[in-house]
Amino acid sequence: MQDLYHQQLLEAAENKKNFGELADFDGEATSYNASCGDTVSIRIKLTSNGKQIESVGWTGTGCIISQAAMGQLSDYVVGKQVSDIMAMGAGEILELLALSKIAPGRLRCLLLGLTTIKKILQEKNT
Amino acid sequence: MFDEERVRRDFPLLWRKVHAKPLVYLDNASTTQKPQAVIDAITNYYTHHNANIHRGVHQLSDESTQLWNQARAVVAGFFGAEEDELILTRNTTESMNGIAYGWADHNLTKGDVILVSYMDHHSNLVVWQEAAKRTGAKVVFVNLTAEGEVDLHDLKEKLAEGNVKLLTLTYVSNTLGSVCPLQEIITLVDEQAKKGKIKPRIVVDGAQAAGHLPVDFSRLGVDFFSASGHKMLGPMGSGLLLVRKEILESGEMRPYFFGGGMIAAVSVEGTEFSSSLSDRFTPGTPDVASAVGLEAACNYLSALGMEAVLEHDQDLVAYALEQLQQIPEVELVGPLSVGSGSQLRRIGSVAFLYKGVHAHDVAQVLDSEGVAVRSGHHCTMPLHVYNDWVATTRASFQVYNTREEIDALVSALDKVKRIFKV
Ligand SMILES: Cc1ncc(COP(=O)(O)O)c(C=O)c1O
Repeated sequence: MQDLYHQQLLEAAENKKNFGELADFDGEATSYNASCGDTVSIRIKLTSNGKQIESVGWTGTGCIISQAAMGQLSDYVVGKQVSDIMAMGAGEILELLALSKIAPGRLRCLLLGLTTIKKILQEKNT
Repeated sequence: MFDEERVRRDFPLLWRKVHAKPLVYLDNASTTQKPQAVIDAITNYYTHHNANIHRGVHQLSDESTQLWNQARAVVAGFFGAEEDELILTRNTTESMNGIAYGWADHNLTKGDVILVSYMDHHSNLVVWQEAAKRTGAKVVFVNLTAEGEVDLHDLKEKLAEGNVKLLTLTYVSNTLGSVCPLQEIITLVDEQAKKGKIKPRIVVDGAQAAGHLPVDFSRLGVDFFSASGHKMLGPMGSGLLLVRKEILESGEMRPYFFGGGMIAAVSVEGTEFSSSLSDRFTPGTPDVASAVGLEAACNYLSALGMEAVLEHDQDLVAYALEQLQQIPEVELVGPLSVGSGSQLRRIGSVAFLYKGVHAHDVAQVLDSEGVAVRSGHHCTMPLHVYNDWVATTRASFQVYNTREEIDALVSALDKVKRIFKV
């Protein structure tokens, strides 16, 4: 159990990076994890050419996995290319959380933030 | 009461370990484990009798048909219903959809009200939202009291509006554990009817009542009763819908699945449905093995005696309430006492919030100790929103659970405290 809820993860969930609403943003979305009640609302500001993420702000509640994943991810994506983020998957999120694996039942918690960010970027692109 | 240890021996799955710890299975409201008698009944059917029913004149088909009829008779009898009143389905959700397509679509129109409550399971709610869209009826919610029971005062007011055509009631809430005072509510409905108001049809969601307390449909005074066989020791894919015979005979409820098996005669011009009620609502080849398994589950419970099953349940629920109330971080939801006699207040489960820790994280830690519980909103999102709960953790019981397992739950909760340092 300590393998899953290791110190770094607990801290990441505690000190949620980029928590708060962005006043100036290009896209936003809210997602729910219908099976457990996790929710995240994310706003994203892109660079002027629209190819990179300039800043991210988010709010939400949920389990430690969803909240820690969202916090770490929000930090990671700043300055990254939109195309690189679109290519991310569960493997990268596990790495950000220093986890080797996750139970199938928690996969949606893990991916809630990433799918929401992708949803925003996709909408911006179309 | 019966000997739990002997009962446990009948459930092979309970012997296994999880994460090298003895399994403590407390997720029975989701689905129960199956006794060997149920597993054997299914195996026996496929090993010796499998054939389509009603279709052949050969020996196997006869045997299969007999087994199907016998299963229907036992299941109906278990619930105090006539065979003609029983429609076998896959689960409560399918039963509810049957009422919606077979009854609501033909009997509701614009201006009618479907009265539901905030504690209803999504399968007893989304179905009505969709039926409302099709018919123009409106879904109205009855409030709950602070302890999570139907607010009878509010219910009475809403009935008095005179436009309620369908009233749905959750017999036992899968989240709050609260027991619906059916008799009191039926009296309210009858009083309204006496004042010349239309009398609503009453649907009971019996998913968490079946296999927990004795149910006698003939005396319940309701029109429809849905339950899941898989939540009462029966096989996955088994469920049932009871409909008062008069509603079926009069054609007020009509077939909602069409095809072979349910017809009397088919011609180019059209079809006459079977005059046999059981055939009319059995379209296509039914799942005979599941029916036979459900029959075995009913027989298993009958042998224990439903009064004894209830007594055992009440002992566990009362004990769990008492133990969990001693943990400062735990906030229980639903009634805090079990009640008694005709005033039963709580059956089958205890759900709670754990201060500072999300239910998913609680459940994950419990799992590492071999304790299986459910976490989330248990398909009652409106109830969670109504109460401002993000998610709850639920322990739910069946005949094979013991007080020692509740102790195991309590000590596993200690680990939650340690890991998350609350
Ligand atoms: C009160 C209640 N109603 C309906 C259902 C739905 O049952 P099923 O999933 O078997 O259709 C459940 C199952 O969780 C329930 O607890």
